[in-house]
Amino acid sequence: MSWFPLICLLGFALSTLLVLRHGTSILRRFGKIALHGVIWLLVWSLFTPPALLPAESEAQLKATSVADVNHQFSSTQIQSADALQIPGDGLLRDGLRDLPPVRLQPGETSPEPGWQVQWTREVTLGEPLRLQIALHGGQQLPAKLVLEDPFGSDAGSALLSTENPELNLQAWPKLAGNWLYRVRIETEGSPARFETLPIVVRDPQSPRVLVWLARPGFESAALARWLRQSGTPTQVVTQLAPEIQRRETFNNQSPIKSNLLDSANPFDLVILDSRLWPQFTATQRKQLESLAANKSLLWLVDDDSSPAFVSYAASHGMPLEKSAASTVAYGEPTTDTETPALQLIGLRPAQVRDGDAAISAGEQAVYWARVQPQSSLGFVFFRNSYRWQTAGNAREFAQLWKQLFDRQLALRGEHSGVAVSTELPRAGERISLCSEGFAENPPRLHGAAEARSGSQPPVALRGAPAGNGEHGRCYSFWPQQPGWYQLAESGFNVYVHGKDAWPEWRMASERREIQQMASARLGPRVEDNKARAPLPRYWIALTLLMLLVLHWWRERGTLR
Amino acid sequence: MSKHPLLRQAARRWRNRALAPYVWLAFAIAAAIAAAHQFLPLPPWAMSIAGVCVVLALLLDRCWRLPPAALCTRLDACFPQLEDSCHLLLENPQALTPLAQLQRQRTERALQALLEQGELKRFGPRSVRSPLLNATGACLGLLVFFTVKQLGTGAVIQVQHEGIVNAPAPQESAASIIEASTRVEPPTYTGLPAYLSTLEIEAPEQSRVTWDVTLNAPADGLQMLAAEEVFNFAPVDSLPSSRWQLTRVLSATDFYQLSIVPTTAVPTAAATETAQPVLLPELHNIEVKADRPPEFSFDYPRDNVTVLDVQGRAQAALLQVSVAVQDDFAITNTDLLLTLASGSGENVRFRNERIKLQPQRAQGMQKHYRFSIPVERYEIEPGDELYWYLEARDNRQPRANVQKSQNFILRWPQEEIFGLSDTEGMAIKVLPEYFRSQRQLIIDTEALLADQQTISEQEFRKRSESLAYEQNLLRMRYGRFLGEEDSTMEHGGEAQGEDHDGEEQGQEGHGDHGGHEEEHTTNQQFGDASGVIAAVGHAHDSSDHATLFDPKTKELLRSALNAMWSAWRDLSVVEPQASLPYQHTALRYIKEVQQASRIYLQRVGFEMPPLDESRRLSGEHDKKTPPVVAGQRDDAERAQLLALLERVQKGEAIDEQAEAALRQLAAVRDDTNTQIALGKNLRRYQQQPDCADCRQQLSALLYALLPSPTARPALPHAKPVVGAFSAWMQKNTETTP
Repeated sequence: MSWFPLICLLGFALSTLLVLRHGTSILRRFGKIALHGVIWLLVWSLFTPPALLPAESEAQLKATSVADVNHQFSSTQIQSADALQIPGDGLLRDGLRDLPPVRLQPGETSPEPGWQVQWTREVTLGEPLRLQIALHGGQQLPAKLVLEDPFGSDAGSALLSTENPELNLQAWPKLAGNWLYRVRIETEGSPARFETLPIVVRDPQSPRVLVWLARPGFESAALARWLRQSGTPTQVVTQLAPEIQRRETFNNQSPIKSNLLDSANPFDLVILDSRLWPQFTATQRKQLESLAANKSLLWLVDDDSSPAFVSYAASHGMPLEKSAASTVAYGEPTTDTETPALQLIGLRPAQVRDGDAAISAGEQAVYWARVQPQSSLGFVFFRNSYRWQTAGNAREFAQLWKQLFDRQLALRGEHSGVAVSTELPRAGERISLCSEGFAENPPRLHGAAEARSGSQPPVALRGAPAGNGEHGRCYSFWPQQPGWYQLAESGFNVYVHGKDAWPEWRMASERREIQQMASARLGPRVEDNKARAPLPRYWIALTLLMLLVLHWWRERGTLR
Repeated sequence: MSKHPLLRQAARRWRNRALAPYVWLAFAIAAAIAAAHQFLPLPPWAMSIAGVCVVLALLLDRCWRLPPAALCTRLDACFPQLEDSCHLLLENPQALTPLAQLQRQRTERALQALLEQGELKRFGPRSVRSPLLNATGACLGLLVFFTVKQLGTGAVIQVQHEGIVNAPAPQESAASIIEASTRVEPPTYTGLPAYLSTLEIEAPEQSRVTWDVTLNAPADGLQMLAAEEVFNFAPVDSLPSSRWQLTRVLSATDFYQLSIVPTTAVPTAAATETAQPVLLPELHNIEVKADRPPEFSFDYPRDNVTVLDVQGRAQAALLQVSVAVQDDFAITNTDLLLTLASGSGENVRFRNERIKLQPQRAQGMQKHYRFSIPVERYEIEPGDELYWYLEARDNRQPRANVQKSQNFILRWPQEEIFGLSDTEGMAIKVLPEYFRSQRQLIIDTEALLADQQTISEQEFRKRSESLAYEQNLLRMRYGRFLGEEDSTMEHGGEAQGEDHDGEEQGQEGHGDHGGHEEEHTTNQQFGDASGVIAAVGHAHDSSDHATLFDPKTKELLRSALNAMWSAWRDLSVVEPQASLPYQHTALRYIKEVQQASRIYLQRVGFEMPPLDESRRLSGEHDKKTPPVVAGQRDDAERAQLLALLERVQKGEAIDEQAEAALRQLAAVRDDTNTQIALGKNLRRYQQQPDCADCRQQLSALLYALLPSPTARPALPHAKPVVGAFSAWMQKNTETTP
C-alpha cells in the first residue's frame, strides 16, 4: 500500500497549512503542527505497525510435523522462535530435515517401548541369520518373540521385557534366494502379531585354494577335509619329507604339478606352512614376493618357524615377536558343548597397524592380515582348531575358517556394493541407495515380487539424485507398495516394509534421531538486533484516540 | 352445495364416478396384500400403509368435491344441450330477467331430460388422475418393496432350512460314517482297564484296539489305510453291511484313513458310478505309548570309582549300595552282576557272577534295594578290580525290558604301575612281536650313537635307516588307533619322491592288504571311515577302539604320534641324536596312554556275539576293494531334498520312487515321529493336489529335513568399501569375535 503514506503525508501537509493560517503564536502553532504530525504518524502506524518491541527470546513453537509447522506459524514467528518443540516421540530424519532451521527441543517421550532391531540382511549359505533386539526406552511388558523360518517353523524364541532388555536369536538359512523370515510377537492379553525380517541368502562362489603343508597333521587334515566337503576347488600338497610330496586335488581342481607358487596359477588363495620356508629355493622365495603383491597369501605359522621366516614377515611390514604359547577361548559359548580352547603358538603380531584385518580372542590375535587393494598377506597363530571338529563343534570350526577366508579374500569382490541409507525402508517413505557403481543416469528400482507374479501391475521407480555419500553416488526412491524391489543394473535386492511395520523400532528411531538432530542444531545463540516484534495495533489505536480527544478538547472553542 | 335438486343429482353422479377408482384401488391393494400375505410374511402394518396412501390421495384429489360453479362449468362442457346456461340454475329465479328465467327453464328441462335419459351416468372426471396414479404407484411400490425384501430373506431362510433338513442328504448319496467308536484293551500285564475312545487313539504298546464303525448306508467293504499297511474291516451283518469291525494290536505309532467301498447291489447307473472306493479325507492318529525300561536312581555310591584298601580297614560304608528302581508298570526282578578282574599283564583273569537281589521295600511301581557289595566272596589282591552293575527287568510281555545301570568300579590299587614295558599292559595287545617298542628304539638309538665312532659311516646310516623304518612302523601302528589321516584310505592323490617306499613297506605289515589297492571302484564320503573295515572285512582291531578313548587319552596319543613323526624324520635323515628327545617324549606319552587306557579297556567285559550258524561257510571269495574317498563334494541328500521341495512348490506329483528315497534318508529313517509326519503330509499332498495348506505343510517338513549347510569358503560378492570411516568401522567390527 504505497499510496497510504502519500495520503498521510498529504493530510499532514494540509493540517500544517491550516494551522499556519491560524493567527496564534508561533509556539502554539508549532505545538499544533507537532500534534498533527503525531496523529498522522499514528494513522500511518495503524496500518503498518513498526517493529519496535524486542523479540520474545523464550518463544517456543509446538508442532508435530512439517506440515503442522508450515500451517501454524509464519516465517517471522519461526525466525523469532527460540526453539521448536516436537511433542511426543519425535520424527524420522527425513521429517526433521524438512523442518525450518530452528533449534529443536524434543518433547517428553511416551511410555511405549522402543526397540532397536538389527539382523544380518545378507548372508551366504552356511552363515547364520542373527537377530538382535534391544529395548530402547519405554516400559516393555513381557513379550515372547519367536523367530519363524520362511516355511513357518519356529527357529528360536526369547523373552523381551524391562528386566531382560536384549535378546539374540539365530536361524540357519538352508536355501539361497530372497526369503522372508518372520518374528511372532506374543504379548499377554493381546493376539500375536507378526513382523517381517527379509534376508538375501547367496549361494557362495567358491574360491580356488592351494594348501601347501610342511607335513601331515591333524590340523592340515581337518582343513583339507573342510575344503573338500565344502566343494572348494583345492589342491593340497603335503611335504611328507624332503623331496617327497603328496598331491591331492578336490572338487574338479586341475592339479598343478610344478611351479606351485607361480602367480599365474589360478588360485585365489594360497595357504602355506611357515615350516616350509627353509625348504623354499631362491626362485620360490622370489615367487612368494610376487604372490604377496598380487594374490592372497596366508601363512599357517608354527612354533618351529625359522628366523628367516620371521624376517620375511618383518620385511613386509608385519613383524612377529616371540611370546609364551598359550590357550585362548574363542567364539560365543554354546550351551550344548564347550568349544575347546585354541592353542596359540609362540609368535604374535608385534605391530598391528590401523586398517589391518585381525581376529582376536581377548587380547590375543589368532589371525592377522594386511589387505591391500590388490593383495593380502595374513598369518594364522593357532594350530589346534581340528579339536573343534572332533569335539562336535564342526560348525564353529567352519565359521572360524570362513571368517578368516572372508577377510583374506576381501579384495576379490567383483560387484560394487549398494548401501541402503534407510534403516527401515517403508512404503510411502523415501529410501536412499548409494553405490560407487551408480552412474549419472538414475538407476531404476524394479517391481515387487508380488507385482511380478501378476497380482499387481509391475512397478519401476526412477531414482532421484541425492548427492554423494560415503558409499558413492546416492539416489532416492519413493516406493509405494511393500515387497521386494530389485536394482536392474546390479541385481541388488531391497525389501520395503509395510507402512505399519515394526512400530516399536520406528519409535526408537524417531526418539534417537530427534535427539541427534537436536544436538546437531545446538549452535551458539546469535543475538539478532533486527529481529523485533511489531507494536500491537490496539496500543496505536488507543494512543490515536487519546490524541484525537486531546485535540478536540483543545479545539472545541473553534468548533463552536 | 347447490340447492337445485337437479344439480344435486348431477353432483352426486359426479362424486360417485370420481370416487369409484379409489374404491377399486383400495379393494385391489387389499386383495394383493392379502394374496401376498399367503406366500410372504409381510409385516402387519403393510395394509395400514397402503390405506394411508389411498386416503391421502383421496384428500389431495379435488375432483370429487367440485364447487357448484365448477360443476355447472363441467356440465356445460359435457352437454351442449344445456346451452352453457347451467349457471342460471344457481341463481335465484326472481332475480333473473324474464329472458334469463325462460332460459333457466329451458336448461332445467334439458338437464331433467339428460337425467331421465341416463346421459349423466358417464358424467364424471377422468379415471386417470394424478393423485390416483400416485396412490396406485405408492401402493404398488410398497408391495414390490415388501415382496423383494421378503423374497431375499426368505431365500436365506430357505437355504438354511434346506441345509438343516437336507444335511443327511449328502450322506444318503455319498458314503460316510454316522457312528464310530474304538475299544482299547491294554495288555494284561499293565493292569489297566479297557476303555472306549474316539477314532483318535492313544494307547499303551501292544494294546488290542477294536474299531466299531457304522456307515450311513450299506457298503461292500471298509478299509483302514494305515501308514504302511491296509487293513480290511469285517462286516457285522451280511453284505452289504452298514456296521463294520476291525481289531488290531498296536505296536507302534501310526496314522490311518478310512476308505469305504460302496455297494453295487442295486444295479443303477448311479450305483455303478459310485462303485469306486470313497476315501474319507480325515487322517486319524494312533499314538502308542511305549513301555519304558526300568530306571535306576542311586542314593549311594555317588562315585563310579571307589578305591579300597586290601586290608579292609573301614571300608564297609564304601560298599553299601542304596538304589531305587522304577518302571512305568512293575519291576519283576533286579540282579547284581559282578566281574572281578585279577592279575596283571597277560595274566588277567575275569570272574563273573550274578546275584539276585531282594527289594527292601516296594512302593507302587518303585522298588527300593539296599545291600552291600559282597567282596568277601573273593580273595582280593592289590591291583584287582571289581566291576559291578545292576540289571532290572520289568513285567513287559512277551519280552521284558531289560535295563542295565551304570558301571561301578571297586579298585584295590597296586603299589607301582610304572616300570612296565611300553608294550605291556596296553589293553589292545595286538602288537606283533617283531615290532620294536619305543623303549627298545631308544636303547638301540643310544647304542648306535655309542657305536658311532667305531662303525663305518655306511653302517651308521644303515642302522639309522633301520631304526627310522621301525619308528615309522610303530608310529603307523599307534596312529591306527586314532584313525590317523595319513593312510591310503583317505588319500587318493599321488605321492612323489624316492622315499615313498617307506610308506609301502609299512603297508606290508598287513599281510595281503597290498592287493587291496588295485581296484578303487566304491566311492565313500570323505571322513566316514565306518565302511572301510566293513568293506574289507579284515579288521585287525575294532573300530570301537578308536572311539573308546576319552578325549584326554586321544590327545596324549596324538602327542605321542607327533613326537614319533619327528623322531622318524630325524632318523630318516640320519640324525639319531636329534631324534632322541622326540623318542623320549613319545615314550612318556605312551606310558601315560597305557595308564589311562588299561583301566578303561579292561573293565569292558567281553561278550561274544551269538554265532549265526546259517552264515557258516557262506562267505564270498570275491576280492574286496577298500572304498576310495571321493574327491568331490557329495551332497546327494541335500540335492534330493531340494529337487523334491521344488516339485512340491510347483504342485507336481511325487512318484513312488522319490517317496521311497525320501523315506530312506537318515533323518527320516531314524525318527519315528518324522516318519509319521512325513507319511501324513505326503498322503494329504497326493490326495489333495489343490490344497495350498497341505503343500505348505509338506514344504515346511522338507525344509526342516534339509541339513543346515555349514560355512563354506566364498568369494565376496561386493568390493570392500574404501574410506576412513568404513575402515574405522571395519576395524571395530573385526576386533570383536
